[in-house]
Amino acid sequence: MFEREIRRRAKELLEAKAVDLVIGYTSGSLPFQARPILVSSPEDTEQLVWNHFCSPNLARYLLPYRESSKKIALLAKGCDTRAVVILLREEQFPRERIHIIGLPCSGIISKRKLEEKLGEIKEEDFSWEENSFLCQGKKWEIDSFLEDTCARCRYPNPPLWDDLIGEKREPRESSVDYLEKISSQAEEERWQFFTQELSRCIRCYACRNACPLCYCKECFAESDVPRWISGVPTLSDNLFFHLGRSMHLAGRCVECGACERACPEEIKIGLLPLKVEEIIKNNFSFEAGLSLEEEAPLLTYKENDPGEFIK
Amino acid sequence: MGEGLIAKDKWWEWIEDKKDRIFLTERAKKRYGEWFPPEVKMVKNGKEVLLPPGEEMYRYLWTGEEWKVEEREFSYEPSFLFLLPCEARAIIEVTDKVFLHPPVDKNYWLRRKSLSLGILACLQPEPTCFCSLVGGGPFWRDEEALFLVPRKEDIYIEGRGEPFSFSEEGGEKIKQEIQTLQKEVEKGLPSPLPSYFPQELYHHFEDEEWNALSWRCINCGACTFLCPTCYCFDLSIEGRLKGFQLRSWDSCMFPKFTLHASFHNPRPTGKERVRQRVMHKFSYFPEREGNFACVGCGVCVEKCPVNWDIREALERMVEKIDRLRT
Repeated sequence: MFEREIRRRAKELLEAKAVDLVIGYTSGSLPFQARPILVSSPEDTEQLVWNHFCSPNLARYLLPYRESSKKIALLAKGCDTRAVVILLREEQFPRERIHIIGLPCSGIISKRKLEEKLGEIKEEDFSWEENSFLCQGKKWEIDSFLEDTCARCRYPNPPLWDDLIGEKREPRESSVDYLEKISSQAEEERWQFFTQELSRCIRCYACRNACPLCYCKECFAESDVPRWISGVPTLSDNLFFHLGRSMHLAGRCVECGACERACPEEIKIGLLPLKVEEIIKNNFSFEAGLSLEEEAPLLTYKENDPGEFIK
Repeated sequence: MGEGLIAKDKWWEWIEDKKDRIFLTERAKKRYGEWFPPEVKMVKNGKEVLLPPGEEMYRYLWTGEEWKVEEREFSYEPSFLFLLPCEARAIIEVTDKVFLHPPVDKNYWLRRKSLSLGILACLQPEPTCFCSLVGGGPFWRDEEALFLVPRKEDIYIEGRGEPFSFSEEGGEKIKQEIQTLQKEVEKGLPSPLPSYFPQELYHHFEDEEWNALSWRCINCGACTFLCPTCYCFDLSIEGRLKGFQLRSWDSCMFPKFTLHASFHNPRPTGKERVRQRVMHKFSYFPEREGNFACVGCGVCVEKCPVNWDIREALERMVEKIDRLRT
């Protein structure tokens, strides 16, 4: 799936010294897993892969290079690119130091869902297409195996790119929006659901650290002065952390779901920031990371703001 | 040492009577869930029982004239913890050594002395497992703990002071069967790291390889918090004139772990922090205690959000060390 094209372009860029390094995906050490790779020599571009398991949001890997002068090519799905747009808007990076190799994305597949539906699985039994795969002598549509956060994706195409590899896709007409899960719940039921989920949180901060937009030098969760929460993962401190994180991301979250996929406890942690984005969209007709000209609604003051929420 | 067989439908009745509470680890449940009733108390690993994520150490109070310090009183119900060999090793060969070698940690000791271990043989090492690389094995056992191996109809049990015995003729044959099974399971598992590894690794502290090994890691605490041997903690004072000292989990992956009051941080980047995790487990701890502070359970490999695989780091360092030795 366009892997050859990606390698060729990455090689070209490195050979021409148009970039110093390429951040992309390579095969993981475990089946059904791809992981980030830094490529700085043309011959290593052969290690780049592009498949349904390229889960981490690579925009996150730009952050350590903020202070350097390196020019970086980034393989970026729709959501990764939206995160890059936010980083550019927030002046974390100059545009000229990033070369976006945009990849229209058909969604990340959940290994857990594969195992649930197909039993014990081996990588060699699969043959992959963009929207389907062959396994156990049968053709399967990928839709029902997608990560919950990907099944509802409305922006599979990068909104900004220097190269676009692959064909632009129409957003999936998703049958059930993942957010339905909480939107349809009665208040009490929803409280129960979230307290149950968040009581399992061990506060390892994998969600925060996987997020390309959680880049505060000191996270409020770890601040000593003032000290907002303790180091112990109690339910109230967990709620405080996740609600705080969601509010910090309000109007900035690009709905990539990297936080949820990073969670080692498989907590449905993406629901909180996703819900906040839905509220932002309904109130401000705004979605984050779609254009370099956009004005972030929560960072913008207007005199004629009706301000109904404080009346 | 007693050894013998017990029928699968009799064993629970037998074990239930022995202790007030019975714990089972999540990983052991995946293989042996059917042996236990649904109400058995599930834990992630031994750390959840012995080193909770947060605990009060003592209370203090300023009376206006002096500080009054009150030690916590505890008692624990005698309990059994059923777990896999690697998870048992994490307790016996790592956390016990840390918290029970003088000065003894009172909280740990009180919990530990009321906890008996039941080791369930591991018949299906997973793709993430590497116990044999770090000196353990799927049939690793300890004479202080029960050891159980499933057979078709019944369970083979070994344990000190247990009143088992085989019938005269069958005993040797069954023990041989267990040994054959062990050999079968161990077949193809990686051989142990070389004995010179801890010492040699230390000499590679400044190796540039650490850059290549560390950049992928996002420095979250998933690996350390879920690791059955990672025991590092933070101490904090909760309350000014009246309060308690809190011990909570901490992780060498977090920048704040080594942040000085002066704001100097001796481990400023991911490189120093990843190196610390590997060095502590594979050099400092074994130099002091004689075994690795890693039991090869593979949980960190399985749970890592970016597939940072400690086996690859070890492999790379072994290669480097061996290249220099020859």
